[in-house]
Amino acid sequence: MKRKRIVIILGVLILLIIIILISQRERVFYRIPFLAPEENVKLVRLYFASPDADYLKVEARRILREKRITDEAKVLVKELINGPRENLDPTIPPETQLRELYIVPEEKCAYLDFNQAFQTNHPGGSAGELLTIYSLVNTLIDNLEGIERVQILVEGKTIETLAGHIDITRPLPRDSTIVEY
Amino acid sequence: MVKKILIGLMVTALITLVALPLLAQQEEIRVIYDEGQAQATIKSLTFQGTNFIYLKEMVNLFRLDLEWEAITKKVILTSGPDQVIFFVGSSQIMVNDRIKKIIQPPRFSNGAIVLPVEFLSEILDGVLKAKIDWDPKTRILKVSGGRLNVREVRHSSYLDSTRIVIDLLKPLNYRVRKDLPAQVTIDIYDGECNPDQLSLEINDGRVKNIQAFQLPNATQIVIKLPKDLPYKDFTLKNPDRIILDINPPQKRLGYKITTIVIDPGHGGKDPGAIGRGGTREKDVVLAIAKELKNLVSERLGIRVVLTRTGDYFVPLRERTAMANNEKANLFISIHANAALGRARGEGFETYYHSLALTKEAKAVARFENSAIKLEKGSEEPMDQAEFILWDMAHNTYLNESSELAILVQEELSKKLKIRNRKVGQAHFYVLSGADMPSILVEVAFISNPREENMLRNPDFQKRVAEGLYNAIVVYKRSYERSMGLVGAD
Repeated sequence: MKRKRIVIILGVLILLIIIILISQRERVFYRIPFLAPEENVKLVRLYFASPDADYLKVEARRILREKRITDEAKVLVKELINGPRENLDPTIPPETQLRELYIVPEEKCAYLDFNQAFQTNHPGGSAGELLTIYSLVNTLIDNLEGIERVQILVEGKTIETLAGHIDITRPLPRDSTIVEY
Repeated sequence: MVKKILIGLMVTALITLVALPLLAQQEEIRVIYDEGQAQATIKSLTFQGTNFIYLKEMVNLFRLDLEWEAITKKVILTSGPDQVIFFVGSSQIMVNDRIKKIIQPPRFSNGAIVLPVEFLSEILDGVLKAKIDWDPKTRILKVSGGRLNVREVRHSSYLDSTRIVIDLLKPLNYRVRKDLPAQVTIDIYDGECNPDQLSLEINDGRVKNIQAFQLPNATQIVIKLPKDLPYKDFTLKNPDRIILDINPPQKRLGYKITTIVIDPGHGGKDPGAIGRGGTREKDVVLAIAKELKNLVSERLGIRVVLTRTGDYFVPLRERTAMANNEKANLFISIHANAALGRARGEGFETYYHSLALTKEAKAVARFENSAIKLEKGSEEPMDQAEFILWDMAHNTYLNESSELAILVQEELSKKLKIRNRKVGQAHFYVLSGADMPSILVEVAFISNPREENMLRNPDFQKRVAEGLYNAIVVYKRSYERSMGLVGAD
C-alpha cells in the first residue's frame, strides 16, 4: 500500500519534470549543447533593439540546423518575432506571422511575406521602422550563406513603407550604421 | 528509506533544473571602452577553465599590426613604438625586449590562434597604456584610457570633391591649419593613433595622400594636395568623427529661399503613431506645422505651403510632388517617433535622405573593422559606377540637406529639454525624389508616455516650431550671405 503511494508520487514527480522540461524546451534545449548533438546546432546572431531604440544589438542564440536554407531562414524570422531573451527590445509586433519565405539564389535575395498584422500593429515612427526593417535584413544576411538582399512583402505584395517612412519597395542590403556592437 | 530516495531524487531534479542553464557554454565577451563611450562584442572559447579570445579579433579590436611566421609559430604584435613577441604554445611573452610570463600559453583552436583573456590585462594594458579589466563573472572587458582614440582615417571621392573622415573614440579638440602650400594639417589634441594604419594613398586628382604622425600630445594628420584647394571641416557624432571636405561643392549661385514646403506627417485614415494615452501623431504634427508656417511667413515673409492643412490623407508621393511643383527651396517633413518594446525611446532626431543601396558603401562608420568579423564578409564595397551615378543624381542636395539637419538638431536642442539623439540618414520614401534640400524631423517619442504628454502640450509644440524656425533662419542667412545677397553682419 505504502509502496504504491510512493510509486504514484514518483510517477507524478517524473511527469512534472518532463512537463517543465517541455515547457522550457526552447530555453533549455537550445542553450544546452549536450541535449542536441553539436553538429545539429548553429550559433546565430539575431538583431534586436537597444532599450533606448537607438541601435540594433546582437543576441547570440542557438538554433537547430536545418537542411534547407529556406527553413533556416524561416527559423531566424520566427526567432525574431519571438523577441529577445536578453535585455533588449523586440523589433517585430508579436502578432506578426510569416506567411511565406522564398529565396531566389540568382538574385541573392530573400523574400519575406508577412501577414497584415506586421504592418497594422507596427507602432510607426522612423526609429521603430528602421529597427524593424534592419533587424530582419541584417539577421538574414549575416546568418545565411549567399543572401545579400532582403525584400519585405505584406500579404504577398510589395508596399511603399511599413508605416509611412522608410522605402521598402525594393530589396534592401545590410546596414551596419544602425548596429552597435 | 524510500522517502530518502524520494527526497534525493527531488533535490537532484531541482539542482539539474537550476544548474542546466549555468552549464551552457557562453561564447561572447562584451568590451566596453571608456565608461561606455563605445562597445564591442568578441567571441571566446574555454579551455581548461580559462577563457580564450581569438588573436585576430584582438588585433582588430586594438588596432595592432600583426606579423606571423608560420614555421617558427612566432607572432609579432606592434602598436606604435611598442612590440610584443610570443610563440604559440609558450607562456613566455616578450614585451619590448623584456620577458613576462602568463599562466596559460597562447594555443591553436581549429587552426586559429587563441590567447587567454589574461593576455589583455597582463600584457597588452602596458603596451596600449590602457587600463584593461576583465570580469569573468559578467564577462565584461573594460578598457579605459586606451590611447588609440584616433581610430581610422577613410575617404570617399566624389565627382568634384573628396571627403576625408577621421573616426575618433570620443570627441577631441582639433585645429585645421594651412601653413604650407598644397597641404592641410589637422592637429588633434590628446589624440593617440597608430600612424602606420592611418596613412593613405588617394591620388584622386584632389588629394595625393594622407599621412599621420604621433606627437607627444597630439595626433597630426597631414593631407597633401596637388594644388591649393578650398576645404571645409566639421564634426559628426555617433560615432564621433571629424570630417574634412576638400573642394566642397560650392553653394549654388542665385539660390534664394522664397518658398518652403512643410509636410505634417500622416493624416486622415493614417493616424501615424498613437501614444498610450491616445494622442495621435497626425494631430500633433499638424499643430506644429501650422505654428511653424505662421512663424516663417510672418517673420521672414517667405511663402509657406503645407502638404495638408487638415485631417485628411495625402499619399507620400504627392507630398514630394507638391514640393517639386511649388518649386520649394526647402522641404521639411514633421513627424513624431515611436518604437516597440518598453517605450524607453526618447528625444528628437533629424534624418536626411540616403539611397539604401549606397548607404553601406558610404558609411563605413561604426567600427566596422574592429569588433566583429562576421562569418562571411557581407560588406562588399559598392560598385564604383553605381556609386558615381547615384552621386550625380543626389549629391547636389545632400550637403545642403545634411547641413539643414545638423542645424535643426542644434536649434531644437536649445529649445527642448529632451534628449538630442542624432542626425541620421536613411532611405525615406517622402524624401526620395525631392528636388531641393529636404529633411524629416522626429520631434519626440509619442510611444514614450512622458514625451506623449509633452507632445500634447501647446507650449511644447510652440517650442518645437520655434526651434525649427531658428534653424531655417540660420540656414537661410548662411546661404544667402555666401552668395552675397545679404551684407555681412
